[in-house]
Amino acid sequence: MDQSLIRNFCIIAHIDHGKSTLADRLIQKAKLVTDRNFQDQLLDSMDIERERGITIKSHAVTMPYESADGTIYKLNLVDTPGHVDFQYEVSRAISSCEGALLLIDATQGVEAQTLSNMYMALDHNLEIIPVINKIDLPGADIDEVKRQIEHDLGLDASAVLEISAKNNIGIDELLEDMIKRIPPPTGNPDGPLEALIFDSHYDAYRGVVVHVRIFQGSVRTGEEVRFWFSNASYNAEEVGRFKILLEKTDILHVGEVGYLIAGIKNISDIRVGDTMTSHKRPCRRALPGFREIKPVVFSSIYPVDTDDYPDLLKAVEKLKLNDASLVYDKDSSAALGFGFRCGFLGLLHLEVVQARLEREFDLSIVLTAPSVAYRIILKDGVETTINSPMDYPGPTEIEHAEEPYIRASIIVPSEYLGNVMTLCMEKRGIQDSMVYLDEKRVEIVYFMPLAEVLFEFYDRLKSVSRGYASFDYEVSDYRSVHLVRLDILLNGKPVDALAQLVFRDNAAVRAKLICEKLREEIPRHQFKIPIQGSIGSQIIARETIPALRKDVTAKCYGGDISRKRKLIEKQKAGKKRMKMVGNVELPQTAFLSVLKAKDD
Amino acid sequence: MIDAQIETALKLGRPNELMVYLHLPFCSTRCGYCDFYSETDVGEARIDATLRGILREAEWYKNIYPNAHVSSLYLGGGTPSLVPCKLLAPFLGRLARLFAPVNYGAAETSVDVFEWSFEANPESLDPEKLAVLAESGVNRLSLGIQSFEDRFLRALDRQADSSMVRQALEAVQQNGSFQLSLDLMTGLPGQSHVDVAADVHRVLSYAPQHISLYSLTVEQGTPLDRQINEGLVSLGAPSHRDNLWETAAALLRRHGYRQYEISNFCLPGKHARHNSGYWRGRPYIGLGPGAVGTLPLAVASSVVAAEVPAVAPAVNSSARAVRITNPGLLEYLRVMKSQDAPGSAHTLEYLSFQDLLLERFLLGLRTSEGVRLGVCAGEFGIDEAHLRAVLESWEGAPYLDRRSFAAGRAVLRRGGRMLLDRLLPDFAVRLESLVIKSCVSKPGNK
Repeated sequence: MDQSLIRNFCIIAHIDHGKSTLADRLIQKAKLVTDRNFQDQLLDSMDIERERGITIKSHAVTMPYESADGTIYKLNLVDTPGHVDFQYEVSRAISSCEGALLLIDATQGVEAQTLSNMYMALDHNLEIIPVINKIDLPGADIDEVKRQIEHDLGLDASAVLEISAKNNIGIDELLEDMIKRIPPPTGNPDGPLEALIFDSHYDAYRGVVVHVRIFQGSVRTGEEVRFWFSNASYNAEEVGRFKILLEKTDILHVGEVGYLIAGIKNISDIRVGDTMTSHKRPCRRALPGFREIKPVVFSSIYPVDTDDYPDLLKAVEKLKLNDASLVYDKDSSAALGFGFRCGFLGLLHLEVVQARLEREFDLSIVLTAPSVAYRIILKDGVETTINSPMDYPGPTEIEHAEEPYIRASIIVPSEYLGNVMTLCMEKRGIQDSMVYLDEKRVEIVYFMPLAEVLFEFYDRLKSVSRGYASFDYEVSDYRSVHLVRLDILLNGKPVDALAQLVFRDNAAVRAKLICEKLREEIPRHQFKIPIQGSIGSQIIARETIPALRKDVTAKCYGGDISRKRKLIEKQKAGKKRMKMVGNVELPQTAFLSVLKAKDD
Repeated sequence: MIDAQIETALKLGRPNELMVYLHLPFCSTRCGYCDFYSETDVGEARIDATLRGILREAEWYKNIYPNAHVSSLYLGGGTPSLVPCKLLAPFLGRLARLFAPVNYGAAETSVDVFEWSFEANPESLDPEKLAVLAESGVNRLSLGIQSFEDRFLRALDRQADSSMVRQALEAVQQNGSFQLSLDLMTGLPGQSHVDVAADVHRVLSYAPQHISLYSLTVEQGTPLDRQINEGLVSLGAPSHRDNLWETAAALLRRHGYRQYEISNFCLPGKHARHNSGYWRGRPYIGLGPGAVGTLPLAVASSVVAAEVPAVAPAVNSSARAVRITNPGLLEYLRVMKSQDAPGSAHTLEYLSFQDLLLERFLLGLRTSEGVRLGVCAGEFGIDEAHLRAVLESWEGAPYLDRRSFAAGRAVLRRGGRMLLDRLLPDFAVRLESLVIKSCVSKPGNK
């Protein structure tokens, strides 16, 4: 394979700017699938991605492309996640490419995330091709977006491409431009193997499928490979390229993107960002960029049925393989039995993991309220980090506590500035800077407790700015906080899985919200159920679920029976998702509603 | 549709006993709370065509089950009493010849031998029609009264006012040939406990053998539903409405009526045979537009080997019975007037062993006689001890009447019966384990 005919690229964009649509259009051009079978957003193969229209996991695909001069190129598209929670996955994908299409919505303009993704691409020395999408929409303001590209991003506006991925405008020009502008991969074809693991997934029949980009040398079927950080060796059973399905080849050359199957049983041997090399002729050093991922949000996952714990264990292990950013540890709760304490990159990541466990592994699970990692300095001078209410020491033992802060960068049209600033202050934000990008748009930077962002910050931000504010953040530092543990009691008994660590001044409001939510979610029982929120022995909120009264269908004759039976069958499914806590039956949704307790 | 193969499967299903439900989907107007299937175009020609269609369907079924013993015939609606006398008399005569016992003579025939019920509304019931019914052999009348108060009758959009109700009841008493069942409704807009007591006492003054007591329920999409959503009508707190119903129920019990099913009360021995058949899981034919029937299917092991091939391909192997829903009026008339087979537009739902077992309990537990465990176990080929274990582990177990249970019947005490909807999903969960276990332990017994 001639290296000069390969182009490795990714598409970076803010959510909704049309990345998946563009990817689909390119795949269609390459005729990897017939138009008739074309299913929109091919790369977003997971249900949840398709449903939400966002890309969570990165995928790759190799597309043949015949350029205007008749040369056949091989385009490797490495898809990247489009959400702020998945920055590390973005960085891995970016580092396996030479070029990036920076996709900007003609009606939305440059957003906070566009900026941070572009910096990341620049950091990896990628050739950046700015592309304005959705130019045929009525609200498109191409001149304004060009001005932003030049002014805000500092890129050459004359090199911008104007397309509509949806309606197939400007795609051919874009492809030609990519061939010209994105440099072919370099690297010594005869040197020792150097390959970057940028992703992996688990196939029920084949085992672990490792996604790699070859930076030096080549890898052949039958060759023994070694993974740098895990120091494990395997025999390469099969190598190949990503078409829509896997396409077996006997060799992957330098510059190529492809997969490797090696009968890998031990899932933890494969770490995304790690370097794969030849066992016999190893490279001298690892490729740069590998880092341990630090989760920022923590929650415990339990099976609804405690007997399903072994299944949950298997599922979490497999998920971990495909989702390097998920970290987990064993956990147990008096109310919920055995489970896992998991760390996530953010709240969306948490929801994605939950949905994947339920859909791909068909598990009924319960998640506890998310928490950040707190630093606790005890009276005896010992410092510990806790991320679970169950580990909270008594208040008398605590000298002081610290919580993680983020540096949040928000770009907002100036008319909504007041609303956004009010929201940030409500969330205990401290303003760092405010810059007018132009007469209409302002970039404000706040330092804010991460814990505040976990509760409906995105939704509120979108609602107070009518969807125009964009948001990006990074974890910055730890600052002092008055921390308490909020306990929730059902029928007089604390339910450990419902406890939360909260800022003292938020406790009463939070407790009230949780109690109200639980009152709505918990079905009536044959007895009255008090729900209480407490700090230590002090009750700060209370609700009551009255006992069940008459609950029966009045008429049930010959024509009503099927309807009745089907209703029961449906409720039976819900019943299986109930969790007995003491003598109270908690629906799975009760845990979720606590997790999402709205502030307003 | 019911094709030849399914017909064969029905024939070979060989029910020992059958009930017949006949639906006449005509009403002069629609009541504001009602979501039953009915049509309000009640011209005589259309009624006549419908009756003819029903007779064609009835004969077709008779042909499938030439020797089955029919224990009850129920004419419901809609408003069957809307059918004018000159159409009614010959129609009932034909029905009697098709379904009544051979020695069926006059109205004196006991409901124990053949219960023939007829639903009527007060405004379309006069002495002449009553005479036709009595002569034809109808021996039980079910009268939709709902209330004796004009303001409540108006709120429900009922056609009859209180004087029509009284007239109709007096005519029924005069005639004297029928066992009488009355429908009474509580929870009406603005109703008080005193109002309920007054209605109950007026009902009692006619000494009906049977009373169905319902609390007004708001079905989605009905005019009443819209009025409530628009704030024009208020039903009051659910607990208040529950209490009104309880008041009526308590009064009926005090006057010697047994609550033998959740909404049904009767004097000793006067329960509705036909409806009790539903609750016992008996097979029934549905005749007429929109009617529903449930009939057993031949099971491979229970038929002669030579007959099996004719049945097997059409019917899912796990199906034990089929629930048949008839098409609505227009489609029904089209089929019955055409050369098509009468069952060609019927829709089918196959019922498995699991479905039927769940239904047996969801229906049986509504009644004071409950479910006979030995009979049920025998019929479904399961171990009675397993069935008992399921019931013992069930959320509803504390409500089981211990004496009945010891004597082999699953009966809920009254408090539990009124919570049945809440308790059934858990029962369905428990039943799953039973079905799986017994299938594993008795592979030969499908």
